[in-house]
Amino acid sequence: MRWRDAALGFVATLVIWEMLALLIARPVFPPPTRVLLVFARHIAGDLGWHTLVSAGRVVAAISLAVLAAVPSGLGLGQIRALNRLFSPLIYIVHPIPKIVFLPVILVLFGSGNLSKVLLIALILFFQILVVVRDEAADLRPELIMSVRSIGAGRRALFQYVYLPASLPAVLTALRVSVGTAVAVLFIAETYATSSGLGYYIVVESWGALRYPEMYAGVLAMSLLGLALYFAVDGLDRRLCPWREAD
Amino acid sequence: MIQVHDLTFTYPNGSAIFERFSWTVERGEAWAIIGPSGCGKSTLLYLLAGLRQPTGGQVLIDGQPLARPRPRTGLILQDYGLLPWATVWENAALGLRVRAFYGPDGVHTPRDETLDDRPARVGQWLRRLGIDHVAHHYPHQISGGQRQRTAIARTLVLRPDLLLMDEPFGALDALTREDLQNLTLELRAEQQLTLVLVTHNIDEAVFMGENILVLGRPPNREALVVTNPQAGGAGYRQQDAFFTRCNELRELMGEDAREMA
Repeated sequence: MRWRDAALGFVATLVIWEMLALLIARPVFPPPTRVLLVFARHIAGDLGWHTLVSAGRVVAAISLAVLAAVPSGLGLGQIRALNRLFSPLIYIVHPIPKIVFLPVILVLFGSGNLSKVLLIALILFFQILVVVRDEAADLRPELIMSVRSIGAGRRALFQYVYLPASLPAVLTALRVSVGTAVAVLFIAETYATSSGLGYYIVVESWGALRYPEMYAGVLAMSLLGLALYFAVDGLDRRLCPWREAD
Repeated sequence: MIQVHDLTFTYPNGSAIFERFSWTVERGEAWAIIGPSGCGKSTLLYLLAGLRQPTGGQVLIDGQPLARPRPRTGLILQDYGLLPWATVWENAALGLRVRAFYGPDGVHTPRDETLDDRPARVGQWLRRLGIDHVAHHYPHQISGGQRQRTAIARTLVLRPDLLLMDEPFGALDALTREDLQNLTLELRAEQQLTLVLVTHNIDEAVFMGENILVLGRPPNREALVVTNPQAGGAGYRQQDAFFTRCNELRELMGEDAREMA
């Protein structure tokens, strides 16, 4: 999606929102003009701080998930015996909604940043692991043979073949899971914390009946999701230029 | 240069492709290997490339048993084996990058390899093969002939002395195929290469192979060799001797091919 499309979508959302606010005419549904004013006033202050905390958590979780899932996925895709050993486990664990582990993770890792980052990373890990594994396993044997024939051992194959071959799959998995990551972040930040957009929206605003502030938080969270989505798109263009070449 | 000695190769499912099979290739010779599908010709090439290991017997190159791919052997496959995410230039330079990755260790890279002149070597081969104008294109943006030229550049930039080709021109149209057959023989003479080319195309085997190894229904036990000294000569494709040799080969292969079909 281009910036122009995003801007158009944003304007359309504001127009529909304004009309709905006029129709509903209750404090729980303030018009966007009022919310934008509150947003502008608070983004340089407490809202900005909570947004930065949330962004830090979600970026840390994405990085952790990629760093753990890509090598594991490549290993499973390359080494059949390893895949045979682990695939039943992945098959069973992958469909479990990991959010249900929130209490366990809170008990094990405390109520700080670590537990929130781990919960999001855990969800992303399986989504990335599965696509990278399948991508590495589907590489044509002729391609591997021909690169091995010019002297590549396992390390060089990893760097020059498996890693670049799996990049598009990693980015696709990320694009799909960015929304999930932000949603899980919201839930995780409503428990046992005093920072982050989830806390700002639920505890500081909703709990205090400060509806315009609550919507400013929702807006910040949406913008965070959008920024992550654009970041993945930018990485795609930078790391996979062959996908755009005609 | 190549000595295949008492080679036995059996697939894990138990089907034997070679049984005590022996065959010799001298340095500088041009060989074609032909036979019906499933006869083991590609398997033999992968054994010569060090990408498969014999079940029994030995494959020796320059007197050394092959435990892994040998740095001075080049392999070119039908589907070009190019990296789809790398440009023509990056693909042609891949072998040199792999060598730089390991350094001159004598295993992945010859000990006497010099890598300072990498860009010059790649550029020289892209120009020699007439693909320098597509250097920054990706494989899906160029023609089949250009892709195969890229694969040849990637191999020759590594200065091989043995060139193994597995049905390299099978996916090309007739004119491009003849053009690349001529180019391959020209480069073979220029670079003093030993050439072993696997094909299922009788015309190609007769035009390219000064010696033709005919494989039949597995397990192959004896090397059936047809000598073809006129191979590669200018105008050979139009001569009576060419057609006679093609017919001779067709008859030799016919029985096995019918049985395997």
